[in-house]
Amino acid sequence: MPAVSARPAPPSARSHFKAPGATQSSEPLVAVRGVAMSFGPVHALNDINLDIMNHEFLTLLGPSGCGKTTLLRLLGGFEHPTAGEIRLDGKDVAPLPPQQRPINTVFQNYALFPHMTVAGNIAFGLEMSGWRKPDIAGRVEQMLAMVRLPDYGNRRPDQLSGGQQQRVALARAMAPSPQLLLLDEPLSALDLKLRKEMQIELKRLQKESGISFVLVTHDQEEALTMSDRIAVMSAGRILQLGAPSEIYDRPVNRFVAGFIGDANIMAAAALGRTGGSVAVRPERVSVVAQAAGRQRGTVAGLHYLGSDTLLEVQTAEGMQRARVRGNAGFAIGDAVGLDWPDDAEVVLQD
Amino acid sequence: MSQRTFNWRHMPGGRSLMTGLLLFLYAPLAILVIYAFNSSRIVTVWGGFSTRWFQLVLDNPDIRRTAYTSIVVAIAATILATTFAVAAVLALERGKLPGLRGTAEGLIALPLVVPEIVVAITTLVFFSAIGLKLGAGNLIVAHTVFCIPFALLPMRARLRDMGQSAENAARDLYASEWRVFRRITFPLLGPAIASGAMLAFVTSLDDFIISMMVSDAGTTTLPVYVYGMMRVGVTPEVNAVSAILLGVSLLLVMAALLLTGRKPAAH
Amino acid sequence: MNRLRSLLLLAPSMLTIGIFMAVPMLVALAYSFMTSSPYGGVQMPFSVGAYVQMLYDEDFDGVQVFTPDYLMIILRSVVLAGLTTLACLAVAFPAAWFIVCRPPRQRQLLLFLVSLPFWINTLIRTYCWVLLLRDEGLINHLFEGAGAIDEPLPLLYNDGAILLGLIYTFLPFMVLPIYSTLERVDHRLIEAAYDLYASRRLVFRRILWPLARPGVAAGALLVFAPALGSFLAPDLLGGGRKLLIGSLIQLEFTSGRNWPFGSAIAVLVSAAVLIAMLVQARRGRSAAELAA
Repeated sequence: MPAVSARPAPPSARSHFKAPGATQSSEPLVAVRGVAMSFGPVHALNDINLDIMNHEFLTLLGPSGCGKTTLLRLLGGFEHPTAGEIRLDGKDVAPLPPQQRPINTVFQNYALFPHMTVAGNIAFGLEMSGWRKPDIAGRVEQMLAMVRLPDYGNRRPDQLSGGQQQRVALARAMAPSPQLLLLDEPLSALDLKLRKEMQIELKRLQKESGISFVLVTHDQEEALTMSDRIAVMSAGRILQLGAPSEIYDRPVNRFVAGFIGDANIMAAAALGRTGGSVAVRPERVSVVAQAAGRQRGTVAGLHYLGSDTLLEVQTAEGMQRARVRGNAGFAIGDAVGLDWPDDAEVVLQD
Repeated sequence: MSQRTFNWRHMPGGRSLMTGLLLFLYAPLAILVIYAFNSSRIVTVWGGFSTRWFQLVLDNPDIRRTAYTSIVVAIAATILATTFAVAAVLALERGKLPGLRGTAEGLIALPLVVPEIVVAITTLVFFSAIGLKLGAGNLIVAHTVFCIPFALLPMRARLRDMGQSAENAARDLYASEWRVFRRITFPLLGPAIASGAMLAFVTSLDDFIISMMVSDAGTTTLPVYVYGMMRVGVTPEVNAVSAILLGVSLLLVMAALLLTGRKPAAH
Repeated sequence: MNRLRSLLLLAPSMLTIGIFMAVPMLVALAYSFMTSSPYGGVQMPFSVGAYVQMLYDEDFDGVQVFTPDYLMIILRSVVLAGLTTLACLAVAFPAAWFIVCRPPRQRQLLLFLVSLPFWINTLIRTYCWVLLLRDEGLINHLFEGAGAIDEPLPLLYNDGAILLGLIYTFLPFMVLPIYSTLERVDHRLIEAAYDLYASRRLVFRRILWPLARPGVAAGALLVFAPALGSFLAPDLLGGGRKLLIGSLIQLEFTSGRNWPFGSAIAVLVSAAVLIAMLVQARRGRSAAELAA
């Protein structure tokens, strides 16, 4: 049987998971090098370079059609890149089918096997990777406990709620202790409250298992809450890669600044800086007397947001937004100045 | 004050149209069945309820013999057509057929579109041209041809409905291609295979025109024999044997549709 | 699945249908260009005689004389099949829309009831109308019983009876494809049309009909093609006195023993049907797919 070695081996130890690399090496788990993917004339991915580290929670964030799902499918082995390498433990796995990668996926609509019980679903990957029967039963129990569905082994998937199916899908994908877990918009089918709960749950499971997670989402808030690092994608490229605070505080270009959070974009020259344009987050803008402002204008719109108020101010640089605490007592037509600390200005590449 | 509320789903006269349509479709069949239970030899005069014509029909050695031929042919054609269709549907829905898919689909749909009489005579001409004289074997070959698309229909619909996500999940969980088929595709396709087989069986059992042209004296099928009876005249025996054929078809098709129709309402 | 495995899986079906259906149709095409042998079957040389025979007859002096007999048979068949198609469409469209508008449970049941007759032996379904229409049949019997008539009405063995039989046989073929296109119409489109002041008639003409056209085309093909070559309705309900294409083909291959001529007609019918199918396949989903 080819490349059996790539499958996770049945455990000899009774640990929760395979001890994930005792020595903390800086070697990436997966190295994506120069990967491109085209479907006929359509270029879905262009020259993607990305390192996925051990034990990290990495999020691929971008609007629909940006290529994030394609990249995930390349990692899972459901598609094969037209160019480039995907190295796992130093070996190029790009041409390998999904069966031969120690990588498991939580699918968007869970893809639970409808004709098997919950336990049967979780056991499937273990059976296929050659676990012994007695070991499987124990592992299934362990996984059910981990996702907090201890008594659900004999249910059928269609007897479960959406959130429960989600947990089973997680348990099934994590049971064979993959080196990397891929999650394809796993929370998109859940309602808001359940989604918040599952975000915390996912983060906990990732921390407990030490498995590297790669999550695909278009929800910037989800990405900011859960990730160790975020890769912001657009039009088949990774625009910026970094920790959530880095992405939020120092976006490299207009797209990132606008896609994650809200931003006022102004020409750099107008602020006496060099470069193309400058972004300032609305919550860092304070409203002052007109003469004292870096920018001057009149209030054109007021949006009450509960704890804050969002002011739209018409200035020479266009419409700018300021987010101020409480109900600040402005009225449309008021002449105001806008000010912000120097470090709130982020020079953008374009 | 009765203001009619707006409801575009309401269709004036729709209910009576549907009632009329169903009456049109089913009343003639119901009348046939009623006649079949009429004890009088004169078909249109009601002589009381009786099953005597059924008894007579079941005791008729010719009917027994031709029914036996029909069943043997139908079973053989069903097994062949269903097996072929399972293989074909996997290739069509899950395989790679660059540039060949259109041809394959067209060829498989051919028996559904070409008028039956044309199929019948071309088959006859071909069998005599190549000198194929296998008796009932000729019938089995001819029936397999037109049963394939019918067996394929429910399987294809099923594979499309279920999508590939379960199969991909199994691949992701280290199942080999054979095990993906054995553990996921085949069990999920199971009811559709059963239903396809039943539709193939019914189609073979019901066929008249092709059997009429292809069969010879020794391999007459039941519908061909019944057609001969009908040509002679309307008799209680014809009614009874027709009612039996009707009942068998209905039972099989209901079973087939129940097998595939039982999908949970997904919204 | 790789290409080779796909081809291997496809092979049994393709070979069976190819050898025992596509090749025979080609053989029939070849036969149509041969000459009838006195012992039945065909012989050389090649000729277009069979096709000429459809329009011209040879008189005693060996002169080709125009005879409209066969042309009339073809025309009558086309007209009957066309009328069948129109009648089926007129009933099937509103019926399909009515089913679409029902609650899901009822929809399943109605669809089941409409499609069920499709699976019942055509021979038996046609025979039912013999029971109803013949001189001693139920309808004449009821009329006589009511004293409305003295002589039985000649209901059987005419074109009307054939038409009725054809509609009865092929109606489900029209309902199903139309239903499957109408079912996919987004209900918000209809509500949007009403919202924009369309009347019921306009909603039908501007929204439903254009969207359902692929289904109508598929249904029309599924009704017209088999109706054109139908054998049972003309035979049992038409009494086989006036020939139609189907019975003509059958006759030429049995008692008529003129295989080239029978083949030529079969070729014409198949060509017409296949061309219609190809045109339709280019314009969208195949008929067979919609019928599924």
